Parts: sequence; C-alpha cells; structure tokens
Amino acid sequence: MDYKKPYIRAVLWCVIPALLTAAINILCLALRTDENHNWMLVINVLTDWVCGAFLAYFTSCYVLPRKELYRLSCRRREEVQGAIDKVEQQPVRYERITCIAVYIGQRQLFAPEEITLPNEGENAVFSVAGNVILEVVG
Amino acid sequence: MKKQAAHLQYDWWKYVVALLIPLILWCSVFSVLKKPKANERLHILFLGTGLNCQAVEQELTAYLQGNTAQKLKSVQVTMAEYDDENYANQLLAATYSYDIIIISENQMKDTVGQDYFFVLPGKLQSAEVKLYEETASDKTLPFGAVLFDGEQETIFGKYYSGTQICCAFISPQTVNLYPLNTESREGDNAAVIAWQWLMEKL
Repeated sequence: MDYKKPYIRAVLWCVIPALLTAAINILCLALRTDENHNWMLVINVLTDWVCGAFLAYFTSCYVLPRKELYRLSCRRREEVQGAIDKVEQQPVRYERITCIAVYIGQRQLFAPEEITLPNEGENAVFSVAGNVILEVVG
Repeated sequence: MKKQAAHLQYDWWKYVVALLIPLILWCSVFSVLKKPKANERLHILFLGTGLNCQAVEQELTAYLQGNTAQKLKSVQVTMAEYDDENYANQLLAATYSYDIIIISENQMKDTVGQDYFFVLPGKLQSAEVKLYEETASDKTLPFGAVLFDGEQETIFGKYYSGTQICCAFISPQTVNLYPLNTESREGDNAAVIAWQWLMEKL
C-alpha cells in the first residue's frame, strides 16, 4: 500500500488554500484606502479565520496522520497473525493518528480508520509497524 | 463523526490559535497603516498643567481648515508632565512626534532651546510677542516665543488657566513648516499657520 501519494496530496490541499488566502490578503492590503480601511480589515481577518480553521481541521485529520503512516511504512514491518478478539468502539489518538484499538491475543494494536479490518474471530495476517496496523495482508 | 469529535478533543487549541493570530496580526498591521503620516498630522505638546486641550484642538482644527490647503487627518493637542529623570529622553522623543512644543515654567530647563530646538526663523517671529532667548556661543538668539507671561493676551492665554510662563518651540523634525525648512514639501505649512494662530493677540 502506497502511503506517500496520499500524504503529498493532503499537503497540496493545505498549500493551495494557504496561497489563495495570502493572495487575498495582499490584494486587500494593496486596495486599502482610508475609505475602505475597516472593510479590508474585516475581509482579511475573515479569510484568515476560514483558512486557519480549514488548515487546523485538515492537518489534524489528514496531513499529520498520513505523514505518520508514511513514516511508519518506511520502517521495518512485522507480521502479526491471529484473529481479532476485541475491537474498541471509541477512537483514540496514537502517534498523531486517530485509530481504533484492537486486541489480537494478548497484544494491543492500533488500526487507522482507513484500514478495513476483518470481523472479530476471523483469522488474518496484519502488517504492523510501531504497533500500528498498516495493512491486512490476508 | 467520531473522528471529528476525537480530533477536536486533541486539537481544539489549533482553532483557538487560528482565531487569535489573524485578529492580532491584522489589527496591528491595519492600525499601523491607518496612522497618519508626518505631513498628515499636526500634533502640539504642552508640558505643564491647566490647558484646555480639547478646546484648543477644536478651534485650531476649524482655523486650519480655512487657512491651509494641507490635508490633515489628525490635529491633536496633548498635555503631559515629564519627570526630571527621563526629561532629556522624553523631550527628544517628543521632537519626533510633535510639531510644536509648549513648555511651562516648571517644566523648563536652562538650555532647553539650544539643546532641542533651532533658532526661530524670522517669519515666525512676531513684533507683538516676546521672544524666548538663550545665549549660545556669546550670542543671544531667539529659540522660541513666550505665549503666556501673565501680561500679554494671546489666543493661547484664552485656553490656559495656569499662572506659569509658557514658551513655544518649533520641533526641528517637523515636516509641516513649508517654506521654512527643507524637509517640508510644498504646501505643507500647517505648523506655520498653527504657530501664527497661537501667537495672535486677542
């Protein structure tokens, strides 16, 4: 599974709105006069709020988790074989990734939400790096 | 939905930062941009007590509107008292922010004229108003004008309720003194007009 492309795509989704916002900010500064001073201030603050909120959401939910997954995918992986005994319902934050905690035997592993897990009790082979399930091999 | 709730639990502070930083940044930038340039403002500083600054401001604004073509965004009269410890630094800084500085007797120092101001150009000297003179290099030179000494009735005296002698000086940094200094652009003569107004006899 390729983790690099989704990561780069997510970064681009952040860079493009940031550049657009910067362009709007510069345009407002350039067009500012004493008459429209307050309007330009409001436009600049509002665009930055919208862009900032989007970046906060997108980096937390997409960029940083994908970066972490990419970093983990570059590390040496281990294969864990077994059946899932228990799946936690509440998502947790593990290594900046929002994951579901699963128990395979005595071991607790973390599955990113993008990973489709087999049903409880079904035997499977999991490709794992740093306690994070990167792939369900078979 | 669970994912969104989980990310808010950990990353709520990013939204607070995204809300605060643009507000602080743009308010600061825009307040700097809104500040009138040196030739768009006329600021007068009065060192002492007992001046009705608001009345001077109103009267002077109205007078300048009819007597100068210079476009002024701000006419301000400020009253302050400097302490002995920081007097030199504060007065030096004031010469960069104010066009005309009026100093009352108890805020005056011996060589204040020659230390901070220049010799008053002839055009700003009035036969009706006494000059403030100091001896520099064995010469007695006029550095300012006496606006109030209990005897002469100038416009300034109308707004001053104190009893101290008050002398006025022109800031050497002013750019509103056309054609009396090279820093002023053509037409920027608000300081000259304001000076003449302050000296007017009642």
